[in-house]
Amino acid sequence: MTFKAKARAFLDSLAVLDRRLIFALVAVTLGVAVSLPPRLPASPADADVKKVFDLVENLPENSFILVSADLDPANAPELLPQAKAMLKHAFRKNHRVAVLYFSASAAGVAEELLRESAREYPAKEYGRDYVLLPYMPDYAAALTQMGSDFYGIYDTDSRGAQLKTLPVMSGISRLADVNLAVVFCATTLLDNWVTLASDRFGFKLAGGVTAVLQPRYGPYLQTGQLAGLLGGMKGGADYETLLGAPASGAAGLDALNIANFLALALILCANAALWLRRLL
Amino acid sequence: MILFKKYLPIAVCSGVGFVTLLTYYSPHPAAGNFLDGASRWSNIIYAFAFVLGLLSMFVRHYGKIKRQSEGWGYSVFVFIGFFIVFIPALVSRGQLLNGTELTSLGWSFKFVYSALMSTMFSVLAFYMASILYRSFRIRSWQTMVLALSAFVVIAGKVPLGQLLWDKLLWWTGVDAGQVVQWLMSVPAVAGRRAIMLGIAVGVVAASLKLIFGLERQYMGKQ
Amino acid sequence: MTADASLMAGAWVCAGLTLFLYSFLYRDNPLFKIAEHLYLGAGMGWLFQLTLFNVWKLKIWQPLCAGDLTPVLPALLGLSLVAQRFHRFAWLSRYGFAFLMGYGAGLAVPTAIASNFLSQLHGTIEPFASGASGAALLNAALVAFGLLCVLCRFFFSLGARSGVMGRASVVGSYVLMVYFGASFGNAVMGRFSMLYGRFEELRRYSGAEYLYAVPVLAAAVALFLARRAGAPSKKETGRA
Repeated sequence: MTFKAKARAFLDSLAVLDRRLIFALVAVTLGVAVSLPPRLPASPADADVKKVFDLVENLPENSFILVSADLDPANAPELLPQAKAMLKHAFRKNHRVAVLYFSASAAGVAEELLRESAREYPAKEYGRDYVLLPYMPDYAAALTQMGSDFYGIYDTDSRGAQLKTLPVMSGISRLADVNLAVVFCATTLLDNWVTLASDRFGFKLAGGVTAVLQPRYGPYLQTGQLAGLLGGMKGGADYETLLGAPASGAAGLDALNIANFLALALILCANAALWLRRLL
Repeated sequence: MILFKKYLPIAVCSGVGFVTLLTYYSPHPAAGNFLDGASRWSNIIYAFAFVLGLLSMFVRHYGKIKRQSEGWGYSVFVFIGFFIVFIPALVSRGQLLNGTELTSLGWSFKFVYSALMSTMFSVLAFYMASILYRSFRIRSWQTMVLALSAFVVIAGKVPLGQLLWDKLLWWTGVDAGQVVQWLMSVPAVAGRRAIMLGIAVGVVAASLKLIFGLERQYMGKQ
Repeated sequence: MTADASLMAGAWVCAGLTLFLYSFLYRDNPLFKIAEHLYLGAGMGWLFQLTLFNVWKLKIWQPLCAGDLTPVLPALLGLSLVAQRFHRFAWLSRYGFAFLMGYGAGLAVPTAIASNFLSQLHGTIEPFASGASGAALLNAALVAFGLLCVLCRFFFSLGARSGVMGRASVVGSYVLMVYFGASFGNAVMGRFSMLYGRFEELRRYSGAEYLYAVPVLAAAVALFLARRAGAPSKKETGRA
C-alpha cells in the first residue's frame, strides 16, 4: 500500500471513529478538569453582568427584590452559582428577598438556594428578610395577576403563613412596587417576564439564563427592556468576582477551560481530516 | 347536542380571548376584575393538565404488567419511582426541609429525582461532542462563518481563551471579551431581532386565528 | 469520618443512578432501562405532589372548606381536561382547553405587538433619533442593516435570487449564521456545564467519607456490562 493510500485509509477511519471513543475522551478530559482544575486567573466581568451587580449595589437599603428561581437540577450547575452570588449580594446589602418559581422541578433547588444563602447570614430571618412563595403552574396567569394584586395569586407563602402579614412583604401590593426583579431560568420564561410583566407594569428586570439562551436576549438588553443579564457559568463566575467571593461558578469555569478547548479540538480535527482527505 | 359539543367551546375560546385582549387596552376597573378572575381560573385549570399524562402513563404501564408483555418488569419501576417520591411527600406534607434537616421528601428529591434529571440532561454533552466531531463539517462559506462565530464565543468566554488571545492576538488592540461582546451585541442582535419580529407577527396571526375560531386543533377529533 | 446514614445511603443511590444512566453511552442495558423508568415515575410523582400541596390544597380545598365556592367552576373545567381520556366524554375537555387557549391568545396579541414588535423597531431606530455618534452610531447602523438583510432573507427566500433583494438576502443569511454560531458556541458551553455538575457530584461521592461509592459502583457497572458484552443486544449503540 502506498503512503497516499495508507493516509487515505487512516483519514477515512478517523471520519467514522466509534463514538464511544469520543465519549470516553470527553469523560476522561472532564474528569481530569474536575479533579485537577488549572486554576487560571479570573477574566474581567462582562458588561451585562456588571449592570446587574450595579443594580443590586445601588438600591437603597431594605429594597425589595423579587427572585424568580426557575432552576431545575439539570441547569443548577449554570444557574445556581449566579443565583447564590446575587442572593448573597442582596443579603449583604440588607435587601428583602422573595423567591418564587413556576417550574415544578425548581421547588427543591429554590429551597436549597435560600437555605444555603441564608446560612452565611444567620442574622437573616425567614418572614422578615426573605420568603419562599409556593409553586404556581401557570406563569402567564401569575404574572398578570401579580401586576394588579400580588396577594390575589400568592395569598400564603410556601409554609402556609398569610403572606400579607409577613414583614418582608411590607409596602408590596403589586409588581410595580418591586424595586428589582431577577429571573433565573433555563427556558423562555424571561421573555414572558419582559412581555407580560416589566413592559406592562414598569419595574426593573434583570435575568440570569443558561449559556444556550444568552444570545436570544441581546435585543432586550439593547432596548433596555432587560436591565442586565448573567449568562451561563461565566455569568456566575463574573458575579462572584465582582462580589470578591469566588465560589462554585469560578470553580466550574476553571474546569470548562479544558472542556471548551476539547470541543474546539474535535471540530478542528474532524475538519482537518476532511480537508486533508480532499487534498490526497 | 352539536351546540354543546362544537359551537359552545368555540364561543368560550373566542369570548375569553377577545375580552382578555381588550382588557390590555382598557383602564376600566371591570377589565381589571375580569383579568384577575380569568388569571385565577387559568391557574387552577392549568394545574389539572398534567393529570392526563399521569393517567396515560399509569394505564399504559399497568397494562404492560398485567399482560406481561415484553419489558413489563421495567414498568414496575415506573410505579416504584412514583411512590419513592409520593409517599414521602404525604408523610412530610410536601415540605422538603424540617428546620435545616432534609425530610424524607427532601431526601427523595436530592438523591433520586435530582440525580436522575440532571444526569439525563448531562448525557447530551457526550452526544454534542460526538456531533462536533462526526457531523460538523465546514463545506461552504456560510458554515465557515457559523464555525468562526462559534469558535470566537467558545474560546473567548473562558479565561484560557482570553489568555491565549492576549498572547497571540495582542496586536489587534482588543481583547477576547470585547470581541465576544461585540459579536453578541451587534450581528447576533440583528439576526435575533429579525427572528423576533417574524415570531411576533406569527404569534399575532396564530392567536387571532384562535380567537376568531379559525384554528380549532384544541377541539381534538370533531 | 463518614457521613451520617441517610447521607451515605443517599450518596450511594445518587451515584448508582447516575452511573446506571451513563452506562447507556456504552450500550443499551437493563441498568439504564431501570433508571430511565424510575425517572419517569419519579418525575410524575414529583409533579403530582407539588400540584397537590401547592395548588389543589391551597387554591381549591382550603377555600372550599372556608365556604368560598369560587374555585368550583375552574376546578370542574380542569377536571374536564381529563375527560379526553374517555372517548364517550372527550368532548367535555373542549371547554377546559377552550378557556386556556382563549386566555393565552388574548394575552399574547397585545404583548407580542408591544414588546416584541414595536419595542424592537423602536430600539433599532432610537440610536439615530437620539443623536448617537462614533462607535455607537456605527454599531446601530450595522444592526439596522443586518436586520433589513435578514428580513429580506425571510420574505424573499422563495422569490428573488438577483438584484438588490437577492444580494441583501445573501448578506442576511450570513448575519443569521453569525447569530446561529454564537448560539451554537453557547450551547456547547452550556452542555459541558451540565456535565461538569454531574462529574463534580461524582467526585464528591468518590472519597472515603462516602466509602468510595463511585469507584465501587463504577466497577460493578463495568463488570455487569462486560459480562453482558458477549450477549447480542437488540439495539447497537456505538457503531457508525
